[in-house]
Amino acid sequence: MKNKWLHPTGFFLGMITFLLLFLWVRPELIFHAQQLGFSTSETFFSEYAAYPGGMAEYISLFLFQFLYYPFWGALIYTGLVALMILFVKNTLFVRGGKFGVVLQFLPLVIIAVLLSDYSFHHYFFVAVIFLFAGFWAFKKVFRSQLTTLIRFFFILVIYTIEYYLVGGFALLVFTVSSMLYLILAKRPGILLNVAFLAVLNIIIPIVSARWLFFISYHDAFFKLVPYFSKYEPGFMLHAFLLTLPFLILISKLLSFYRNGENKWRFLNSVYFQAIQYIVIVIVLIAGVLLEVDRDEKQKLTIDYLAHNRQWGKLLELAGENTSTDRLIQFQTTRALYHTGQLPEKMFDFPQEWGIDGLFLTRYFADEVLLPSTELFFDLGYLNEAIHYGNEAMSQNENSPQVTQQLILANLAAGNEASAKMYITELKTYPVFRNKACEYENCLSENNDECAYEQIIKEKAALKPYTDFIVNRMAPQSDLLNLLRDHPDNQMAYEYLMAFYLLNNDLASFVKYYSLGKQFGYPSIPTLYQQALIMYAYELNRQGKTFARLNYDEAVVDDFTEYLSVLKSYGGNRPDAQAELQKKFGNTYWYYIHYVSPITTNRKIVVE
Amino acid sequence: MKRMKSIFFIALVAVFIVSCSNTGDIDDYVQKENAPSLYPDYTNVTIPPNIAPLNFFVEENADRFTVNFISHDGKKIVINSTDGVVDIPVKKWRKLLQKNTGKDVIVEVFAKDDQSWHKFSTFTIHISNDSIDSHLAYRLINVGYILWKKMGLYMRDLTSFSEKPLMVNRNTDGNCMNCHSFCMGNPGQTMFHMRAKHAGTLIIAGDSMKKINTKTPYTMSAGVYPSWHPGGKHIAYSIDIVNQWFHGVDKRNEVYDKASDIIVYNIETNTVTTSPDISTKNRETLPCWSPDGKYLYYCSTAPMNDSIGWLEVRYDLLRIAFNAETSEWGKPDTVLTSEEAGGSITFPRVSPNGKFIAFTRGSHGYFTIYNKTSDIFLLNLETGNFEKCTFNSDDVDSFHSWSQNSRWLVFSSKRIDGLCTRPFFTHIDENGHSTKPFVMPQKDPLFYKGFKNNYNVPELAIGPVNVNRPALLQKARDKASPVMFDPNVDVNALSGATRIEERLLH
Repeated sequence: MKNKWLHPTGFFLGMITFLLLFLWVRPELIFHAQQLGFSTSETFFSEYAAYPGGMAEYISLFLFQFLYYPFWGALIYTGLVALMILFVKNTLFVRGGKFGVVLQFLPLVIIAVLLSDYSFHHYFFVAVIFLFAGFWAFKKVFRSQLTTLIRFFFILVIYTIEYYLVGGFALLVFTVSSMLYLILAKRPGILLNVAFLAVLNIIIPIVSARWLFFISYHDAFFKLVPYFSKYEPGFMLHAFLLTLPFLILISKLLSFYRNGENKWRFLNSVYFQAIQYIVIVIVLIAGVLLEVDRDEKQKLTIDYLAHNRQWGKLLELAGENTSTDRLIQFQTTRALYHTGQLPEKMFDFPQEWGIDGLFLTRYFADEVLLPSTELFFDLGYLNEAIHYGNEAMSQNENSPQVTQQLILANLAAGNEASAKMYITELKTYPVFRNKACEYENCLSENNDECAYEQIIKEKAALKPYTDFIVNRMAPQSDLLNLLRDHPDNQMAYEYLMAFYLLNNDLASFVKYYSLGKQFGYPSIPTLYQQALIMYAYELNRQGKTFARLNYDEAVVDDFTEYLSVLKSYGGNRPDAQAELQKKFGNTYWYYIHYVSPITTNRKIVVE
Repeated sequence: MKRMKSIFFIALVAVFIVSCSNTGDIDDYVQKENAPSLYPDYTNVTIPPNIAPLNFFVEENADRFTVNFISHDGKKIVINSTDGVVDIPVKKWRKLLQKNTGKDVIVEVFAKDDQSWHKFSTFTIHISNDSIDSHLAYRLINVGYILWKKMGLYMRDLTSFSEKPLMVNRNTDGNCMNCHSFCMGNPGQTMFHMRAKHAGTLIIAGDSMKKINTKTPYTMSAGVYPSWHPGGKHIAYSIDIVNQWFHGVDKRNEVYDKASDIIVYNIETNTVTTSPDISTKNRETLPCWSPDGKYLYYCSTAPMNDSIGWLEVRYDLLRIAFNAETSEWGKPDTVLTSEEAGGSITFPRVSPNGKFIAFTRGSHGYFTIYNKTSDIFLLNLETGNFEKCTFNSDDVDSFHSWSQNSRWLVFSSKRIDGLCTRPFFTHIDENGHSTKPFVMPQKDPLFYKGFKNNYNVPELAIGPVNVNRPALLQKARDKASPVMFDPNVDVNALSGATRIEERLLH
């Protein structure tokens, strides 16, 4: 009996999936998190054609690129989920009536939850679709009236194709599923068929490792996670991979239920079916909402906004949900500079990481490479922008974001030949082809209008010309070198000041802050005044004097109050913290007494 | 209806005639003064008779192209192209090379724009009598300085476009691998290092394979730059404490040794040995055996010293006698000083006929691949004369390897884009004269325009490395077995001459 609820319910679930992906998970964040580009070049194809499972990866990367466009990405992935549901429907070889139909949506729930994990590798999605498609073909062959020999031939073909497409571990799942199907179907000659499948699962990987591909025996049989992926499979992924054998088993159980249909009327009622749909919807929504790691999402969103230079939005988001994440601190500080608020509002946002939130390169991790190259580009520090761009590319060689950053940095540095190579490469990424053409217009050999002309010129003008040795562990010396050649490099100046403030180095701050006179601040920025007044106070306590400056009245009043609060607690800082945080949490004084990692002995731990 | 059909047919014929008349006759070409702009530039090059087709792209604005490769007997290969890509059929190409060995092939390039055909001035490709070794081994790696991820050692069949992996790090947990080397170009005697995870040196000698750890309590590091002794029993290695720093402007970085010495590994006895003369306080590195196995050439410079600026570090070329039977060493002898050479001498490679040493000369240091001043020189060992090869470019020209007939030299160059190293080949005649180099041909002539991996350490070999691949992968994952330090070595090494000073380690 055809289930009249299936189509509208399926459509409804599809809509929910689409909306969850589009609005909550947000495809552009998945893309930004992994930055897996897809190239149409032969080299790119050859790389994935070189080992079993590579083709599923290749196809997954083809699909992954569309996540760059949030709407289309969500739509395509919803379509893929629908395709999988169709295969699932086909897999349930004994229909379970109103009870069994809802099982079709089980993989939907699992994949939706998996897609909510920003590190999930989409190879698995494609591989499972291939498993279902292969199983569909297997069933067709097995049910046909072909002779055993011809049937075995076709099964060999299916197995070979399946193995090449999905790889070792997935083939194992496929074999288990096929065997289960044969055993549960109780057809004649089960033993011979099952033995044949077992032999195939052994012979094909051995042949491929020994003669066809450059892979180990272990990988030939058991490779699960794509090479170089950091994704760690958990329970949900294994559940997803085992969907096929699970459904085959369930189908058999349902056949028992069908036999006793008259006994269990409720299970075949519309009410029970409705309950199942409601449960599926609830589990789907709850699963996706809960699976998305909010901290990770916040970090990704901020990084994404920074990459797209949406500074206003970034600050708004950072202000709404304060976080002590190092990358968030770094990007927030960048946003403050670009909106002209760094010397005024740096401590309105958490600065727990001190100078290691201002520069990320003292401690390496994959995630710091692209942001670092962007920062160095901002600073006009083009050699380091290219250096970190190259390091980033070594870690994620097909990242379109990194490629674009390298194009810009090389154009600004005058390395047109290098820029051209990256542009040529970017042109092979279908989704980024238009962007590549825009960059191509910026090459001097072309006379077209360059959309990036202003920023390229601006950064080229800041490029230092006197060589120096880069000091990764002491970035202040690099900033001083940038300022030596270009005293008008306002970002280098404000970052230098921020560095000294965050490093509790008031002596150096005082030594260099006057370099900023040329930038036309209406008055000495508030945070600088706070630092200066504190420095004067400390000198005074040591019986020394400091040049008289015209502090804003508000700064003087605040500092007086700050000291009086501290005094009211007998100078006991821990006791005074709560009150001071309430009143002065965004001041430099509070930072230096309570937040600075030098004060708190906070240590950086990186992988 | 019949009438309609006739009209349609006449119209079709008319369209055909008009379109044909627009094509014009290629014989009515307009002669151009200049040679065509080709990518890669294969104009007037000398090539071996066993090289793969030199596919190229005509970088001229036109709608159609015709390229004729004309043999000395007047026979032609004609290639027509609408997009400028000249893809030469392999069989025809081989026949062409076979027939024209020792002669010139004339290449005519015609291009047609809206109006007419143009013929560019012809150029020649000289087919040398000297074959090149059939395979080239290299490491493919991204441009990176501190970090790495994907990399692999590959072998390219130079007679075709086939490239096969020798080892790729996707199979070894993403570790680092480098310094592949052959004994006199023999693929049956191959070695390479692996670093970080599964660290060790893999040595393939005939049917046997072993993985060793060349670091001993008496050596400052595991073996780095290798050179197989022609006898096949010994491999010389430099041992180095390598460091790098970055420039703030223009030039990217400097790689240097804080300290370095040379050791020799005996494959049969599984021992490393050294001589006090190549494990001195000076920095000895980049060993290279003479083809008769009697001498070990190497580079040497003064110990690291704070008073010596990085630009002043220059390596001299030295050699020391070695008796492979008795493992006895002679005394070091300076072959060429950096002062005489006018720069730092690095990567000495003696030609298999023992006549020349090809070396790289850079302004300073030894890591010439990051130094634009790097050029390749040829030192004539019979006359002692040396000169800069004519094929050098304004960009980096560095690491090189000889073919076994001493007639071809492959070298790394960044001349195409200033960023990635590509392998170039040049013919060297008996007098040391070189020809215009050509980049390793690819099936897709535009390949290098968007390929952002470096071809690292190009090494010629006379065939592919045939090895049981799963066994190699298993061996690569095995723990490296330790080597012994030669107990007969005189005091210096055992007392720690090859150890680095504490202050330099930090």
